[in-house]
Amino acid sequence: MLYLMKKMLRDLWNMKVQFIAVFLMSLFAIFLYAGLEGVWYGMLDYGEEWLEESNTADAWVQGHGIKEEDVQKINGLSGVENVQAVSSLTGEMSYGEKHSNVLLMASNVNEISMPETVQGESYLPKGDGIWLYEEFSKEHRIRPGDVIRIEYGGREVELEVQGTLLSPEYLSYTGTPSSLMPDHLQYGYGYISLDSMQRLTGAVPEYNQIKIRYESLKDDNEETSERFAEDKKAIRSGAEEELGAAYAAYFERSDFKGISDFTDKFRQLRSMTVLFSAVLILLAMLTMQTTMKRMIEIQRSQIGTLKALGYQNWKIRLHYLLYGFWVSLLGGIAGLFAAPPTISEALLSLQKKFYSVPEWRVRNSIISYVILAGVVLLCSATALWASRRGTQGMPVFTMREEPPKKRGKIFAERFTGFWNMLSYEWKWTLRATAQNKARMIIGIIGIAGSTALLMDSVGLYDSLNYVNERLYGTQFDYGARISLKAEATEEDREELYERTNGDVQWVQENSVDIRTSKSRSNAVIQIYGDGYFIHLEDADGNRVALSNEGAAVSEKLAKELNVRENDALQLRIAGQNSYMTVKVEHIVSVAAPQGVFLSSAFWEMSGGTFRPNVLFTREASTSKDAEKLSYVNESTTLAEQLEQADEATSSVLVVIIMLMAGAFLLSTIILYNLGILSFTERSREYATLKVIGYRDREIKSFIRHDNMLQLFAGLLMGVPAGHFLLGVHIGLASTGTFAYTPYLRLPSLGLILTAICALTFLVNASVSRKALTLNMVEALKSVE
Amino acid sequence: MEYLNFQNVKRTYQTGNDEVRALCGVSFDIKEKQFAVILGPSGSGKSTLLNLLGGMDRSDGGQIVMDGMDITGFSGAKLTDYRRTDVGFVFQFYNLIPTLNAYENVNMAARIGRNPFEAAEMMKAVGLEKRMKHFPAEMSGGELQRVAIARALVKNPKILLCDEPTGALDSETGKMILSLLKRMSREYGKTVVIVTHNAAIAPAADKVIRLKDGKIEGIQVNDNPISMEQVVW
Repeated sequence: MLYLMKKMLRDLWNMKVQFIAVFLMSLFAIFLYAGLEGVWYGMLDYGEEWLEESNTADAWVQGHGIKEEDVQKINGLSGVENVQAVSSLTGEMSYGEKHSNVLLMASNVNEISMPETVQGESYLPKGDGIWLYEEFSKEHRIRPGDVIRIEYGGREVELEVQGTLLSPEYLSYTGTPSSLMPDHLQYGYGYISLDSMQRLTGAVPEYNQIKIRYESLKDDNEETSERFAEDKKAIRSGAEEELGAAYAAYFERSDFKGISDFTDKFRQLRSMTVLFSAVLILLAMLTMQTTMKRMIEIQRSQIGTLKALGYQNWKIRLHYLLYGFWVSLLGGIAGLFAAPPTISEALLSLQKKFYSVPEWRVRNSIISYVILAGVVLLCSATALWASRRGTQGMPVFTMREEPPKKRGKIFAERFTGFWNMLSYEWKWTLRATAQNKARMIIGIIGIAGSTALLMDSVGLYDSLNYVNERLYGTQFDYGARISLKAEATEEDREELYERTNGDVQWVQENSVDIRTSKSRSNAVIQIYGDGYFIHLEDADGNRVALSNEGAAVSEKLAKELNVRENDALQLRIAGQNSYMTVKVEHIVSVAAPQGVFLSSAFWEMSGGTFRPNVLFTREASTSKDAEKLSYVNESTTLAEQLEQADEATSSVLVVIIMLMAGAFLLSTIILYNLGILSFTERSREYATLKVIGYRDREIKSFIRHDNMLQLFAGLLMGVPAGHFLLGVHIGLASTGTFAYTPYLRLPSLGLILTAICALTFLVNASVSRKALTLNMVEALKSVE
Repeated sequence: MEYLNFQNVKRTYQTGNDEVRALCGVSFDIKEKQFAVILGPSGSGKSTLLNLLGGMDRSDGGQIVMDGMDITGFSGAKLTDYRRTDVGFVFQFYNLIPTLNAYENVNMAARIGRNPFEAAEMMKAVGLEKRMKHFPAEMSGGELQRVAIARALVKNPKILLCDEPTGALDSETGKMILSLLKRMSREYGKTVVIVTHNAAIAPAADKVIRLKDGKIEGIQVNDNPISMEQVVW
């Protein structure tokens, strides 16, 4: 086997271009998978660990005026292991002429969702002072020992900063439901004692939240899982029943924004990882198959000689299997090592802009190694399969050149008129394709795969931008959005209105508990007063007007609730005592928010009271003026929101660029590899043409026709495949808050097609050059 | 000056650190319409000589003049034109395009000739009018070589060069091919140069040039060459 090993090394060197292609494909497939997995698995792994260690709540009940006995009742529900009641409110901290909103939380105990102290003293629920959100403190340059002033309802307290911390409930903290990006200057949270809260409010604090820990499953089997699911439903209903009028909403981890935004992100990254890696691995195998097949063809006589010398078939096949094994193994290992310090770290640093955890890890699961093993196994198997045919039969036949394949008319020849119109170049190309379908198919798959990947990556970028532009420009086209604090009065509203030029629209926005006969969910409800700053559209792009007949429901929510037009929904807004039944009149296609939309007229007709807490104005400048008003919670312009949304989109830009680069590299490798293989196969034919007297450009024309057929067929397959891939990907990328629509701009598609064509022609030119510098004498040397 | 003139032609190949002197100053000439045979054992330089004559390779010294044209200094493009219009080449292993049928293989050459014959006419001349639509994979060795001859001649070249045209054929078929070549050379008035190691056909040639180790060993002119049918293989 020593000499076979030497032979292998020399063969790898002689066909280095092709084997480098396989090496690179394996490297890139593993690099991409391991790189992306390193991020999302690190997030998942550490996230789960932290949530477990901090005993993070499994569910939250929101309400108002919750009493101690209510808390105990909920603690007594079957399936509840422990509860912790919290009193929370949003205070203001001034800095310069502006103020930040600080969510203050107070509790008697620290048993559930225990925050992690970063600096200073460990958090004590009954301790004096305040423990501030670490990122907020950094942004304001606040350190332990500093004293800050918090205002609420006209009252003010000074609190010494005891320490800084991170809450496991706010892996992502944006401050308001409408914000997409954290703004650590504007929004923060802090933990204080109930006494401090009483000093701030001037009244005994009331609980408005109960954190719940479920009992853990003792036996993880289907029966106990089913019972557990039933228990969770019962806890929810039980909590609602026990709290009565005090009940507002119920969240599980999957819809608690501070946690779900984090989990949605790693799910998004995970889906990208799987999708793209699968395509790359397939293409690595195809490249290996074509390379090995060609090598076996060239080495027929060598194989025959080895057989004649007495080498067993299994040894010869093992010898060829090792080509696939070593090349893919080395490529895969290189990818596995290269990924964590490069792509993983780059992506991870992007995630730090959006999420706050005590520790960031790049971590790969065993799946990365399994994928590597899979790639190696597949490439080895492909090499083995290619060698199977070459080693079959008696040595005497193997040593001879493979006899020419039997021929019949190809399909196109049956159409005589059409066939006779074709040039020799096309006839040659079509017949050669029919004779070597595998190579043509692989070339077509290569182009189709690259086109699909490019459409997916560019489409992802276009889709995210499209959604942002549609949301902040079409769906909403106000100049400014001003949201009021919960305690804002009618006088405050009137005063705010006076500050505008009258071109406004009042909106009531709340979280809402939704029930149907089949399901239950939390979402957002928006009730619109008279105005024209919101434009809803159905799935076909037709404008939908909110009428007095029913409500509009977002597409994503409708799917989640399993409702259609004319179905009924029961709605309970926070603070309401009972559910209100409304008819679903329209299903609308909106990116955000996911919820229910009604006109104020319909709302009041149905028995509700219109209490607007958001004002849309035409003038963007109103936002700046409104910022300083004491009853204003948040004031922003449409342009600022769009900017924020675009910045949120930028987190995937690195991945998109990487995928585009990968798609280009992939298509270059495959096309060049196939071009070289095709050239090698036909070198005698090209040499013959040269001898006959064909000029360079005439020979190039033959080569070009071959590529054109491959290109055309590849694009024909690739465009619908790309459309499909983009649709699947966008579906996976959508989160609980945002629903993305697959979208690829026509100029983007044009650019992609042009790029693929240009690449094909470049590769063609490179291969053509080989044909033109072909040594006729060498190429046509007689073969025994 | 004769129709074809080789004057002190040299060709050396570099293989690694070694030098292979394929031709060491070869000089000979061939008249127009002559049926010439270049004889020599394996490694004597006969294929090299044919490749130089066919414009497929360049010499390292000397002069090659064909019909008054000194092709020694031709550029790549000029050599292509030379092969296109003035040379017809027949290979030992035919080198037909497998994905084109017999007629198409011949017509491929006809369409680029300056003053070509009709492809169908040439197919008939070589006795393959009934096999025009067949592909190389469906034809015997003799038929393949006849197609190759038709392809070489259809361009109406000045000279027909054949590199071991019977090397892959049995004796009967080989004789048939050589007879065809001789007949075509007479009928179409072409100068034919055949390279072979088979000395048996020497008496059938108008001129025999013997090569050994890259040098001319001897030149023989047959005033009364025998017919190919009389050749004892």
